[in-house]
Amino acid sequence: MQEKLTAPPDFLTMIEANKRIIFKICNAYCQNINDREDLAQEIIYQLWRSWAGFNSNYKLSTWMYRIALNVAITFYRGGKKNKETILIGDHLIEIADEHLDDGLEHNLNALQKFINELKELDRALMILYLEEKSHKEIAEIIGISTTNVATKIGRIKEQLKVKFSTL
Amino acid sequence: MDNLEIISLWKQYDEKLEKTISLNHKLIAELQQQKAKSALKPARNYKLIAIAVGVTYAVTVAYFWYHLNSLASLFVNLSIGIHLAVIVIAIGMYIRQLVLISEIDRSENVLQMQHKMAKLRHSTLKVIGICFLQFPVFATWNISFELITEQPWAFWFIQVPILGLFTYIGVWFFKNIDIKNMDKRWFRMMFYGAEWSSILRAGNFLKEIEDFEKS
Repeated sequence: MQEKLTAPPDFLTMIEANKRIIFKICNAYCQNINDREDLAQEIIYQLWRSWAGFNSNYKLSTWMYRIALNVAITFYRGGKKNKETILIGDHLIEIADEHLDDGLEHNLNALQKFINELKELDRALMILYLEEKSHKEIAEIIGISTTNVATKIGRIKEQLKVKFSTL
Repeated sequence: MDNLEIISLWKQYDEKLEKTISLNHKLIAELQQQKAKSALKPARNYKLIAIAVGVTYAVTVAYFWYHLNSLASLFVNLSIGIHLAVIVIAIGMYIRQLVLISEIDRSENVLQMQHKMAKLRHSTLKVIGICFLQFPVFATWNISFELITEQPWAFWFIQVPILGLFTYIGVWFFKNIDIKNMDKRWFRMMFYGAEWSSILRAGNFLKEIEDFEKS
C-alpha cells in the first residue's frame, strides 16, 4: 500500500505539543546521543504511520505513550541500534544549552541515573508515574490492572526514597 | 528528598525542556519520505528470502519426486514424503510469522505488544524444532524389502535400533527446543552466537514480562 508522503498539519501540531515526552522517553532508553536521535526518528515515524488509524475513543496521550514506549522498548531490546535509521544531517530535536541551578542539575542527574538503571518495563512505569498519569491511564498504557499499578508505584516510591535519602 | 519533591524536580526538568528543545519540522517531512521509501523491514526481508529459498527447494524436490518416484523404493518415497512435509510445515510457519509481523500494532498496550514481539522472535525456535522431526528419515531411505527378507538380523538388530534412536533424537529435540530450556548447557551450546542472541533475549524478555504481570 502506498503511504502518504506528507504529514497532515494536525500531526505536526500533535508532535510539537508532545516533543518533551518523546525526548524524555528517548533519554530514558538511550544513553548515547546518536542512539537517542535514532530512537526519536523511529518514534516520530511510527507515530506518523499510526496517526491515520488513531481511534478518538482513546485519549491522545494514552495512544501516544503506548506507541512511544513500545517503539523505545523494541528499539532497546533489538540491540539499541536501529538498522533503518535514515541519515538526515541535522538533529530532529534540537537542544539549546541552558544551565540549571547546580543542586537541581545534580538531583536531576541522580534521577535520570535511577531511571536508567531500572528494567525496561519498570522504566516505562516510572516515567508515567513522574508524568503524574492516573493509575487508570497507566494501567491502560502498560496493560496491567490498576491494583497492580498501585502496588508497583508503591515499590518505586520506596526505591526512590532510599535512593534520594543517600544524596 | 520526598516523593513530592521528586515530582517537582521532574516538572522543573519538563519546564527546562519546554524552553530548550525545538523540533526540526523540515527534517520530520524528510524523515517520513525517506522512511516510507525503505518500506520493508529487515525481519520481513529475511523471512521473505527464507520462504523463497524454501519454496524453490520444495518445488524442485517435489518435481523430481513426482517424475522419479516409480524408480525409487517405497522407503525412499516415504523418506522424501516426510522430508517434504516437514519443509512445507516450516514454510507455513514462516508465512504465519510474516502475517504476524504485518499485524503488529504499536498502539496496543505495552505488555500485549511486547509479548507478541517477543513470541514472534522466539517462534523461530519452533521452526528449528519441527525440522528435527525429519531426523528419522536419515535411517529410513536406505531400507529395502530385500534387506528385511534377506538379512533380517541386520534389519532388526541394526537398522531398526538406529531408526528408533534417530526417531527418539528427532522427537526429543522437537519437544525440548523451547525457551524454557534456554538456561541448559546443551541449549546454550546449540544456540551459541550472535545470530541467536536476539531470540535468546526475546526468551528472557518473555520471562520478564510474565514476572512483571505476576509481581
